[in-house]
Amino acid sequence: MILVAMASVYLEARWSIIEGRWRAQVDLLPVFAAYAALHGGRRVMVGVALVSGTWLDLLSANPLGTSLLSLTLTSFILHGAHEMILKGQLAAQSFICFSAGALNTFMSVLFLWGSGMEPLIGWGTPWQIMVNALMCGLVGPFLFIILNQLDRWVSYEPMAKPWHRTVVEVKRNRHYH
Amino acid sequence: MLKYPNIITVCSVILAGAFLLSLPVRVNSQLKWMVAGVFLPFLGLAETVGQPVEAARKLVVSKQEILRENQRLRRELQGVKIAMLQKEAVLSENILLREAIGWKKKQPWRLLPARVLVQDPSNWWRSLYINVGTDDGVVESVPVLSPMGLVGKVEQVGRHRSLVRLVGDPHCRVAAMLSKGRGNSGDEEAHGTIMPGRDTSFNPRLVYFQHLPSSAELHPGTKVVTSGMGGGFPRGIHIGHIIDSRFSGVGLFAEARVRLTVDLNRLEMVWLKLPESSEPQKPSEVDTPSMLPLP
Repeated sequence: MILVAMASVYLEARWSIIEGRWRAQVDLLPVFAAYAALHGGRRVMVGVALVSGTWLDLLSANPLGTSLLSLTLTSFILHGAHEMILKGQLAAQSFICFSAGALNTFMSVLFLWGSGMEPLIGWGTPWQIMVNALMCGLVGPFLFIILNQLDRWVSYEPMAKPWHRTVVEVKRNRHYH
Repeated sequence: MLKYPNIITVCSVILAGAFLLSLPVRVNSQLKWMVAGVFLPFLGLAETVGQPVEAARKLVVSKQEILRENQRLRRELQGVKIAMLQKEAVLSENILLREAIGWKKKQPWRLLPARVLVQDPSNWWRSLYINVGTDDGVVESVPVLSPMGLVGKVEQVGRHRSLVRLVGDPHCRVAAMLSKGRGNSGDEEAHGTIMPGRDTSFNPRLVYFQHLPSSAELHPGTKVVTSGMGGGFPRGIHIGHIIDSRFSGVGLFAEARVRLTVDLNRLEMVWLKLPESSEPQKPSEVDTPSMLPLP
């Protein structure tokens, strides 16, 4: 997952396809943070934020630590409610990714501004936050499908345990007692 | 809800992030170059994979489009050749006049070509990374140019890559003036600063020309060039054209919106104007004319 996240950041930096038309650069890392929050534990969340966030900061003019902070906070905020969310539903995934996109961008700008880095903030900033959130909301469910598939390929599938099946109803009749 | 170990993790990350952000900019950037060393295999891999993809993308271009581009470039080349002839005459005249007055002969620019590696993926910076660094003789604050005009300046330099802040970035302010040529009839040069404004975040080609005297004649279409003040950029490099203007504050100053001549989103190659004293440790990989005459 981390490798896919890094590849997506590199693609954003190399070919800014969206930027020319929409006047906003799209960052898909919040989607990966959301996936880690819903499907992984503490270590996965911090791992994704640490490696992919640092990678983003290295390709950008961000000071080191900006994306680490915003991505970690985004994933932990989403993780706090992961048991209540219908994470298999397409609409729910889209909403989570939309929230992650908006939250992460907003926090990044806030941290940069708070640390006195003078980021480029203007009339376009709310528009860019909105475009990023919308793109995350749109692309997120598809990325979730890809990541789920990747997860299935690389992870160990446990064998079925027929002696401990809670869903099997044991029917008794006159032949079997 | 968050469990106790999760709270500890979040607090640790917040502390680590806050510590990194509170470091002085120079220390943070040095740390960043050190961390970049850890990610070097990924950078190399991304470059290796990126080049064939880029080449494959270019293969899709139609033959008709290539022919059109070829014709346009031929026309442009002929125009440049004629302009060079004219410039050579002016240059020799300039040398003679300098000798007559006893002024020091000006050295031609030493230019280094560089390929754009990546554009900034964030919305709040206008920057890019190029494939040259200290090994090629690059130093901090070197002006970055394109044939269309000013691009920005080098801010951080690594061994093989450098970070360029583009015009319109909050960390790249340029001392500028109105060009004395067409569209500016005033005898007095109006000096000011090019910096980002309210609309720059929405339109990266739009910057603000600020701190101008209120008496300045700011006609739409007037050419804006670097003034050479402050020593950051050489004088006379084209920046853009004025779109509109207004008085700022209580009418003491004027400001103008300027459209940059260089489309900063479509840059593939840039030129660095190296200082005369800096010597590259190894020759550049690209064979290009490194000595160009002063404009």
